[in-house]
Amino acid sequence: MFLRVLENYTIFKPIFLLKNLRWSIVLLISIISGIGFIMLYSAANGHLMPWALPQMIRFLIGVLLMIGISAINIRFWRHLAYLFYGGSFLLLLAVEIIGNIGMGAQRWINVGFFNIQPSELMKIALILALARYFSALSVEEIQKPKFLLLPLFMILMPAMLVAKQPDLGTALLLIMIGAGILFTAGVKVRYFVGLGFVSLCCLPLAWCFLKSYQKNRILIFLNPEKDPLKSGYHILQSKIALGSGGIFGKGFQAGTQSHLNFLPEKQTDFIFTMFSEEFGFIGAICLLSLYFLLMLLSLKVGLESRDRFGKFIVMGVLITVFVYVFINTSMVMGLVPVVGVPLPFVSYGGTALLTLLMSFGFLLGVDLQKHRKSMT
Amino acid sequence: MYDDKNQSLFTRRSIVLGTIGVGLLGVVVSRLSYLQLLKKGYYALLSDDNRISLRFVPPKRGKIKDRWGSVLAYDIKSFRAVVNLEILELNKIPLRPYLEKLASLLNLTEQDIKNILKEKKRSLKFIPLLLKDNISWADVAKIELSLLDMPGVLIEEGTRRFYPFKEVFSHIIGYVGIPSENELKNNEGGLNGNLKTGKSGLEKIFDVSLRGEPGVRKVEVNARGRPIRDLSQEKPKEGQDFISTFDLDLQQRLMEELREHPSATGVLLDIRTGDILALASQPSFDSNLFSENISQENWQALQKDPFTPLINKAVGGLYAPGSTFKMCVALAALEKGVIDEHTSSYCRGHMMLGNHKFHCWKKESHGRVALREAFQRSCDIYFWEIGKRAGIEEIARMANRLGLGSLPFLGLNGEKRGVIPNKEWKLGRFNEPWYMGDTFNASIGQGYVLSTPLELAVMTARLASGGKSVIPRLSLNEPFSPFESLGIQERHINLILEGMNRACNEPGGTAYAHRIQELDFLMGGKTGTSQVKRISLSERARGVRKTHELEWKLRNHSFFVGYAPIHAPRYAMSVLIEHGGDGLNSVPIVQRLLLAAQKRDFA
Repeated sequence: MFLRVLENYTIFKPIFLLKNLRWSIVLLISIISGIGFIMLYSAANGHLMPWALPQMIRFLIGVLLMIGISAINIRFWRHLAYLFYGGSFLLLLAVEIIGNIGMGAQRWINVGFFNIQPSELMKIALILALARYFSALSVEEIQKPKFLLLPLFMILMPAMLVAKQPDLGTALLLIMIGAGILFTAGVKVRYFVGLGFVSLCCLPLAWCFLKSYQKNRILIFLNPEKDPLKSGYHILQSKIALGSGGIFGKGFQAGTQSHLNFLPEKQTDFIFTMFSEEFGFIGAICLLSLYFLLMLLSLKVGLESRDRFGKFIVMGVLITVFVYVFINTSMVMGLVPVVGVPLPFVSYGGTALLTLLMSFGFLLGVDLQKHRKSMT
Repeated sequence: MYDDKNQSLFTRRSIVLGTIGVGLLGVVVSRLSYLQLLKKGYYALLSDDNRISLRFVPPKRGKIKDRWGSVLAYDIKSFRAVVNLEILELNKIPLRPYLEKLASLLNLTEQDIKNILKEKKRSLKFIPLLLKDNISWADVAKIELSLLDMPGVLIEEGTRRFYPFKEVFSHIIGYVGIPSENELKNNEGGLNGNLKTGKSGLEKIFDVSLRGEPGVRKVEVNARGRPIRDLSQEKPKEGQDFISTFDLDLQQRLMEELREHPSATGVLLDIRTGDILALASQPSFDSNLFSENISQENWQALQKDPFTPLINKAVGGLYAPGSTFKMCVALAALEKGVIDEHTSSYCRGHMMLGNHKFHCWKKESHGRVALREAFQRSCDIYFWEIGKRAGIEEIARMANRLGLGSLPFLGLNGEKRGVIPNKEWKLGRFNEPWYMGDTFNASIGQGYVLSTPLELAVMTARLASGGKSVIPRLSLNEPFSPFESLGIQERHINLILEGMNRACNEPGGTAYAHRIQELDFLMGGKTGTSQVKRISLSERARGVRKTHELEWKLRNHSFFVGYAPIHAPRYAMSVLIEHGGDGLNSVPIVQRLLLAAQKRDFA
């Protein structure tokens, strides 16, 4: 039965996909990922293992997944949105319970041959669920406070669970996604101002809930010289690596700081540092421009879409990418505290890559929708 | 579905968000330009071919001083060998074979290598790992030469704790050492593996303030890990000096006196403040052995010594107080109102309880004695009489009030609290009722009664102060608050003091032979002979009482407690000589120390 339903929503004609898929976005993603492979190759001192090759394989799987998702009628996802949200939330809850019983901070569920990280699923689920909720309301309704209660719950409950894991970066991202969709849906600006004010007041309270290492990170961010031997060391080394890259960089595989292991986690959170050390200011600006272009094209999809559900999805995906890029790059430059946030498509790590590609699958699907209309 | 108003709202707001996004990206780009364009030179300097290495700079540990400022413990320069792990990693050298290669050069044992490997696991890789501490200057030159072909090894300057008075203060000051796993876990005041921590005594009690805070030196190193130049240094924060209550001169004198005996201990207190002026336990050990990393043989020897040099007997030795306990008994009876100063009893050398015969220490009998004479001559019969009248509960309560079995701990290692038995205690301990015979034993400080020399000194101080709750202390850094009254009637205490005065200063008094003869400095006191039915200091001692056949073999412990001057008591002291025989034997030590203390004041 499920297959029949899917049939209704799917377009199997390969020609349709080939002709109408926004290849510019696929190309941009591929270029950025390609840069990622190169950096992972460099991080391993010129070896495909242990990082570059697995990342390439995941990328291929992810791209297929992305195109597959885009080929399915967006209305199908609309139907599934709440179910998907509920399922993700239950998984998140399960992880919380199992994590508590098991070995402390456990963020994933092991399902035999791979691990599911419910907080990653939650990002997509939240986008879909909020998009569906707001697409069903008129702007007049959205501007009434009583319609805001449910989405606030939808955002805050998973965010709190994720923060407890503790994964502050993802929790923050969930809130940003929520806030972005709320904003573009038309929630009155004064609510944001009010909410901002309230959360500012809650800041001291939130401080009490932070784990001591999280507090430490923030304190060290405010005064990195305070602890140059431990957490401050990362930022210090990152700044040295980045700064010493200069305009043209030290050249591919010639980043002394990263290659002599002065730079921690160079293949994940600090990959931008390594990139900037080796390719310099010019390289870094190019990479940032690629992201900028990708976001610009995505925004175009959102603006062109005539389906409000689709618009909100695009907004959610856009915010995800933007927050990732912004937090990651400003973190390695010492602008914001260290929170474990990857650089999209570049940082090593399967789950983040797959989630991002899936998100773009939805975005591309939104784009295809207008052609689908004209076809049927 | 499509609705113009929504469309334009979404567009408008997307553009607002987009603008914010562009603004934030602008911040990122400008930060990037700042780091890579403007500060390139600075960071390139830090990076280039040379790289930064962070070095730990140990703080100078605070000095420990006596009350007049003489330094009892301070840091001296020493050298240590460390290895830069980054360099090993760069050159792909595994640590273990590398250490084995170094072993003969640095005199590392197999155990040392194991310890270093263990330390490596918990240390940060960018801080050089300690290989050997306290290398002599002569060895440094030798090692430096042979190390030229060992990448990564460095000789660093460090500090070592030095105790100029060696064994004189060891039990009090203690020593420092590398922190243990547990101490690191508690991590009070930012302790780390490179920082020494107090292991016992004052070094331990006041560790956090003595310790200071380590500094960090950023050093530029070349690819071999050799330092090229200093980039910056965050100065370490020196630890605070600690002013103890001790008086170097008196402590040294006490130690000298005690050295005449194989095993002895004594405590000298300032009555008005509770300041411990001298506290020593013989035999002792040299703290320097520990700060230099004690060798296995030395450690074994200290542990196996039958005279237990590692135990501070002044606070950790439990002894039957003997006749020094009689003050508690008499005061209990006076306070309870069952006797007065004229109450007397007739000593015929022994006394019957049921069909058991109790012997006074003097077989020939003391004749009729009242309170003062009973103290003067330490007649056991008299105290059995009044002990019976006072009852054990009253005696125990008074003993506790005077500090026996109830003192707060100072924090010195191995401290113990005395045992002041009563009915409840015996029931709990032996599941037996209290017998009158037990009261008799307790009345002369035998039987189950046990106390430490410190407790007896405090008891004496409390009596001599006219009944104030004197509490001993070690630190002059803390403000002093006057002692409260214990609420004991002054005339009763004065009666006791008169008795103690007569014991020293009247012919026939038990301590008369060793009295202070200078009129301004007269002392009062009480001898005590502690029967060795049990081996003091040993845990199993308490309550095991099958040593009648040993009694003749083991001489009694000799106790004396005293205070001076009698007209305005200022100093209190207790001395114990293990197996010193008669109580009289410990009197001369107290006499000389009390005299010295009083004269020191005038100097």
